[in-house]
Amino acid sequence: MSLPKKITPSNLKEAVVEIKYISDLPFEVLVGIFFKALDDTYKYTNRPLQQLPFRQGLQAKLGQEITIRVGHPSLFYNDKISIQLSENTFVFTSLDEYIGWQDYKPQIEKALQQLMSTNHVKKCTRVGLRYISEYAGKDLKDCINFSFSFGLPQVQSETTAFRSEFIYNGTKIILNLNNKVPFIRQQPSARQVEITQVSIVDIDVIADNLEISDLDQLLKTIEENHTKEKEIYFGMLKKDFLQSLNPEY
Amino acid sequence: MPNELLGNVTLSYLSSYIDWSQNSGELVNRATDDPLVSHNPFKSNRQFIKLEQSFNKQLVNSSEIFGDQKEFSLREKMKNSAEALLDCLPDKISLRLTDEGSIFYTVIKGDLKVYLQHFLIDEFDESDEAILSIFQGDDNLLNYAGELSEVIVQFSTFFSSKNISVRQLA
Repeated sequence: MSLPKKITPSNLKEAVVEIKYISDLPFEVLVGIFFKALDDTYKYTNRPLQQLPFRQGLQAKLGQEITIRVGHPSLFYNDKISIQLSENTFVFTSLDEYIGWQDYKPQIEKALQQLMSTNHVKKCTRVGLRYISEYAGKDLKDCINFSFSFGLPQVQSETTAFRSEFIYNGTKIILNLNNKVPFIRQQPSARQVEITQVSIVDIDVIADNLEISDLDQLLKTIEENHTKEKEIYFGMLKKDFLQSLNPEY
Repeated sequence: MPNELLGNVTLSYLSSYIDWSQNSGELVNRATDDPLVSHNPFKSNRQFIKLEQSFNKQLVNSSEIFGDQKEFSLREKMKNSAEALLDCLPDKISLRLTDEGSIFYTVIKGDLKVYLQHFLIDEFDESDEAILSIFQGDDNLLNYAGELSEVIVQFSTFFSSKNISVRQLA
């Protein structure tokens, strides 16, 4: 099956690449080292500690006010992507709309080159790639080969959530399909909100238990995950729906 | 980002239908609407970065408004009010600097509109002050003015009570 290089519209809501790694240094130290290693096109920011009230039931039981302070991950960003750093994890996302794999991959590659040049990322243990597409006002049955029935055949589901975990060519896949999920929609000019429906295709490709210390091997694994995501996504689409997305090969 | 993909349409369903805890789709208890578990951290980070970029850009052209105040200090103050507002998981959020030396935020969350004016006080030992108004259509649901920390408490309390009122156990 030949896979399209581009579809329009892409309907992509999120394109997340997450890499878990092991380092020889504490995270607090690593942030400074990564800051120094990344070039001037990246800006650093951090979100302040967030103060959250504890659950009210527990608060009433203890008779005192409790708050917890939660730290946010450190963030680097340039004009195309953001990199979220938390302990032993890099998470890449696009800064605005999805920029397409042909632009997204070089951005990830460039950042990883600089981060791994520190020699403090000793090995990468997990590569996750998660793409979430949404279809506003669409029934998934019109988009993908999807049908669902259970012991009450007379029932017509208004909303369906389907989840499957499976191994695909040696890689773990978590597939979530949400059909006709209600959500609140508001036009800025309108005073009333309306409830409408959206369908979601969420594909998570996870290469786990890795011991990758070489950048080329890491990039190859990311590319493989992306190819598997495409194979699953395009493999599910109905032919006429795929044609409506103006595929470019 | 999520706001932009569908033009002017605001989307808020992802916060309750997708688990973001491990950047994977692994299932957790969907009955919870605890934002720690269910909200999309990438959307929130994007909104934070956009606010910071907007603030920095406007500050270049408005630095005389804030006199001798250090840019770093102003930026850190902005982060505090922005962070507090982002806690309600807004559909849309924007800011502009005013001639009065304040940051004026506009937040849209579902059918609610929130306006927060954060005055950046030029005193080391004095707290910043703020004015908060929350509207649902033409109905003014809350007005509060005071120290920023007090205003943030009012804001958080308002939204936590909203969450509790819509939570159903069955």
